[in-house]
Amino acid sequence: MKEKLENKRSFVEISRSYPVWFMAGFFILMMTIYWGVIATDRYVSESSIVLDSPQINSPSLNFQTLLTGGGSAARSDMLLLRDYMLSVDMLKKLDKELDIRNHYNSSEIDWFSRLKDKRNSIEELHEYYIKRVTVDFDDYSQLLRIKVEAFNPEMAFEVGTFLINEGEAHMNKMGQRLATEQVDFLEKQVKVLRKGFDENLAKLIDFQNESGLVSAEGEIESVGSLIASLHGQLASLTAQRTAALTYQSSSSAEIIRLQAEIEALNDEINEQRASLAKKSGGALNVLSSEYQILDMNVQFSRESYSSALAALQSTRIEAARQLKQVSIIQSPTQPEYAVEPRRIYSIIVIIIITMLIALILQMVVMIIRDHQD
Amino acid sequence: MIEIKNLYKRYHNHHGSDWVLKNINLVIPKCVSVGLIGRNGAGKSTLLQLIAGMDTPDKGEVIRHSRVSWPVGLSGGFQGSMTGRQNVKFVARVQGGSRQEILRVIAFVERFAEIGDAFDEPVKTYSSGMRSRFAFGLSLAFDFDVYISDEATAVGDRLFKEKAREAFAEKVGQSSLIMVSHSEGVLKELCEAGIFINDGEAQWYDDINEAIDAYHNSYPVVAPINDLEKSVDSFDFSGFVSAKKEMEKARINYQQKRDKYAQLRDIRNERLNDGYA
Amino acid sequence: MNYKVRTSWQVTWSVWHAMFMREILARATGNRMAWFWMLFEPIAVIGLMVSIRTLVLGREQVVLNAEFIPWLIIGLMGFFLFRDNMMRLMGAVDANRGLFAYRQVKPIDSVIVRSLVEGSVRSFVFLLFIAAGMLLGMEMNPDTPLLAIWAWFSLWMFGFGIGLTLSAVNKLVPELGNIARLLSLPLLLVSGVIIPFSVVPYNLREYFLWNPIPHGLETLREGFFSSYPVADGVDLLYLWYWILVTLVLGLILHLRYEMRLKAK
Repeated sequence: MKEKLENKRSFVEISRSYPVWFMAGFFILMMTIYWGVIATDRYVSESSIVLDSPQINSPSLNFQTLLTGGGSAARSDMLLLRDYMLSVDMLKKLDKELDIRNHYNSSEIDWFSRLKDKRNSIEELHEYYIKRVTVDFDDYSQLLRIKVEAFNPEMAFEVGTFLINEGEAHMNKMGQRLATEQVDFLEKQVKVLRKGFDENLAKLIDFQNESGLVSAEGEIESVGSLIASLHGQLASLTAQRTAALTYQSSSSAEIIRLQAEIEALNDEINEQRASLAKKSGGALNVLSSEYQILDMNVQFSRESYSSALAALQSTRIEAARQLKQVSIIQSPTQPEYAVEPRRIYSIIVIIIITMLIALILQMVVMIIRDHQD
Repeated sequence: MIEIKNLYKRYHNHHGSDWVLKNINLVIPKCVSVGLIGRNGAGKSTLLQLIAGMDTPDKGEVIRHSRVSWPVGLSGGFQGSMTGRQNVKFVARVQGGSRQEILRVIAFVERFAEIGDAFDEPVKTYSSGMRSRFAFGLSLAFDFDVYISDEATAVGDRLFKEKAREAFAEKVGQSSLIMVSHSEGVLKELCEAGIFINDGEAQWYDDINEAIDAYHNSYPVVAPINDLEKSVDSFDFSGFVSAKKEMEKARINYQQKRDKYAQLRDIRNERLNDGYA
Repeated sequence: MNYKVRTSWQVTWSVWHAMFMREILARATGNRMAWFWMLFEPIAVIGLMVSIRTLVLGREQVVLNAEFIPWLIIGLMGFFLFRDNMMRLMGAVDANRGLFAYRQVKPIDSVIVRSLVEGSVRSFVFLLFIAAGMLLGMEMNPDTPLLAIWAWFSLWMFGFGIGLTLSAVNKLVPELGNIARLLSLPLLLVSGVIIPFSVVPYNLREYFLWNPIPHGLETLREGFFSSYPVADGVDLLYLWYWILVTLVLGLILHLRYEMRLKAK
C-alpha cells in the first residue's frame, strides 16, 4: 500500500521535474496511437510508362546537350504528360468518371488523412489530389512513374488506369491537332489552286476556238515559210525573164507569159504579207502575245497545283507520324494490401525526431539553469 | 547566505588525482565576513573559486542565495581591443540592470579608477597599475551582497591601496566579504568569522581569531613532526623551535616568490588573451 | 540600490544581450576589411562565374526557370550563411576566453551569440543584395517568401549546429578543427552553389545529395523561383536530421566539457 503510494507520487514528481521528457513521451504516445491504430489504410497502385513515337531522332551530342541534360522531344513530351496528369482538367475528368471526391471525402477515413473540404471547391480537391497522386519523371531511364493512393484497392487501380488512358488520348490529340490543322489548310489551298488551273485552261481553249487557231505562232510560221517559197519562185522567174530578153523581143509570148507570172507572184506575196499582219480582223502579232499570256497562266497554275498536292501528301504522312503511343512498362498494379501509411516507419521517425528535440530542449534548459548570479 | 553541500573537488593531472577538497559542508550566513586560512595548497583558492562560480565542483554544490561578486580586482575578464568604457558597459549588462544603472556604473568606474582619458582607450594599452585600478573600480561599482577577494588589496601603488582599503571597509557595513589573505592583520581587521582549511577539510569558526589560532596550532601536530620523525632518528628536541622558525621563514619567502610569479603569470596571460582578441 | 538574485532566465538574457551588443559592436567597428569582403566576395564570385559562363556556354539559359545571376547570388548567400557560421563559431570560445571569468558567462553563450550575430549580419547583407538586384532589374523577389525564410533559417541552424559541435571539437581535438577549415572550399564546389544540379550526371546526384547543404540551397531557390525545377530527392527534412543531430552533439560536448572549454 505504502509502496504503491510512493510509486504514484514519484510518477507525478517525475512528470513535474522533467516536463520536457513528459511532453515528449506524451507526444510519442499520441502519435503511436494515431499511426498504429487510427490511421486508415491506403492502397497504392503503381505503374510506369514511356511515351513512344515512330519518329527517329538522330542523336546529336554536343557540349550544350551535355550541360542541359539533353532536352529531347521525348523528354519534353513526358513532362507535358506529367503536367497533364496532375492538372485540374484531369482531376475534373476523374471526378466525373470515378467520383473521387466522394471517395476521398468518405467519413470512414480518419480525420487527418481525409479530404476536408468545407467549401466543396476544386482547389481543395486539387491540393489533396496532388498529395495522393504522384507522377515522377525518372530522368535516368526516361520513365514516368505514377503512384496512386486510394483508400481501397479498386479505386487505386482504376484511377491509375484512367490516368494512363486519358493521358495517352490527350497526348495524341495534342500532337495531331497541329498536323490536322496543317492538312486542312493545305486541302483548302489545293482546292483553290485547282479551280484557278481549271479556269485558266478554259480561257485558253475558248481563245483558240474563237480565233480559229490552235496556235498563233504556228500560223505565223507557216505563212512566213509560204512567203519565203513565193519569193524563191519570184526570184527564179525574174531571172528567166532577164535571160529571155537578151534574145527575144519584149513583145514575144514567152516574155509576156513570164511577165504575167511575176506579177501574179508579187500579188500573192503582198496578199500573204497582209494576211500575216492582219488575219480575220485581228493582227496576228496581237493574237500571238494574247495567246502567250494565257498559256503562261495555265502553266503557272498547273505548277502551283501540283506542288500543293505534294505538300498535302507529305503533311498527311507527317500527321500519321505524330501519333504517340504510351508503352506501359508496368501496368497499374492491383494493390493486395495497404502499403501506406508506413506505420512502423512513421512511428520510428517520430520517436527519433521527438527524442532529439526533447534532448535539445532539455539541454538548453540545463544550460540556462547553469546561468546563476 | 551561501550554502556549500557535500562539496568535492579534485584536479586531474598526470600523477593521477587526489581530492583537493573533501566533503565540505558549510553555511556562510548573511552579512558575515569570512576569512579563509590554511597552509599553501590546502585548497583555499580552490574553495574561493568554487564559491565565486569560476570553477565547478566534481560532487556536491554551492548554492548562492545572494549576489556574489567575481574575485575583486580580477583583470583577466577584459577584452583588450575594446575600450575601458565598452568593457564596463559589457559587465554592467551582464549583471543586468536598467540603462540608468549602466550609466551609473560607468560613471562610478570612471571616477574611481582615475585613469582619465585612458578610459576611452583600448584596455590592452593600460599599464598594469591602471589595469588593476580599473578592475578594482569595476568590482566595487556593483552592490554585491558578498564580495570575493583573493589578495585583492595587494594591488596598485600605495596611495591607491589606501583608497581601495577604505572603499572595502566602507562596503563591509552593507555587504559581507569572503577573502583569502596571507596577512593575518587584514583578516582580523575585515573578517568576523573564519574557515580553516586543512587536509581538504574545512572547519568553521565563528570568530576569526579562533580560526587563526587553529591554523597556528595545526603546525606541530600535522606536518613537521611526522616528517621529522621519519627523517631523523635522534632528534634534538631543543632545536625544534628554531627549526620551526626557519621553516616559517622559508615558507614566507616561498610565498612571496609564488605571489610574484602569480602576478607575472597573470600579466602574461592577459597579454595572451589580448592576442586572442 | 538593492540587487535581487535574478532567475537563471534573466541572467541568461542579460548575458546574451551584453554579448550580442559587444559582438555586433566589434563587428561594426573592428574589421572594416571584413565588411568590404562580405560584400565583395559574392560579387567577385558572381563576376567570375558569369564570365566563365558566357565564355564556355554562350548566352543560353543553364538553369531552367531561373535567371543565372539571381540563382547564383541566392546560392552563394545561403552557402556563406552556413560557412560563416561554421568557421567563425569555431573561434568564438577562444576569442571570449577572458569573459568566462564572470561565472554568468559560459563558453556556449559565446557560440550562441556569435551565431546570432553572424545570422543577423548575413541576413542583412542578403537583404542588401536582394534590394540591389531588384534595383538593377533582376528577378530577386521571392515568390514564396515563407519557404525562402524557412530554408534560410534551416541553413542558419545547420551552420549553428555544425559550428557548435566544431567549437567544442576544435578545442578538444585541434586537428579535427583544422580538417573542418580545409573542407570549406571543396564544400562550395559540391554543394550545388555554382554548378547547377542538372549538370551532375544522374547516377552521381544521389551521392551529392548525401551532403545536407544542397537540400537547403535548392529549397531556398525554390522559395525564390516558384517554377524552379528542384532536383529529385531534395528534402528539407534530411537537412533537419543533420541539424538536430549536430545540435545534440554540440550541446552534449559543451555540457560535458564546459570546464575544459573554459580552461586556457
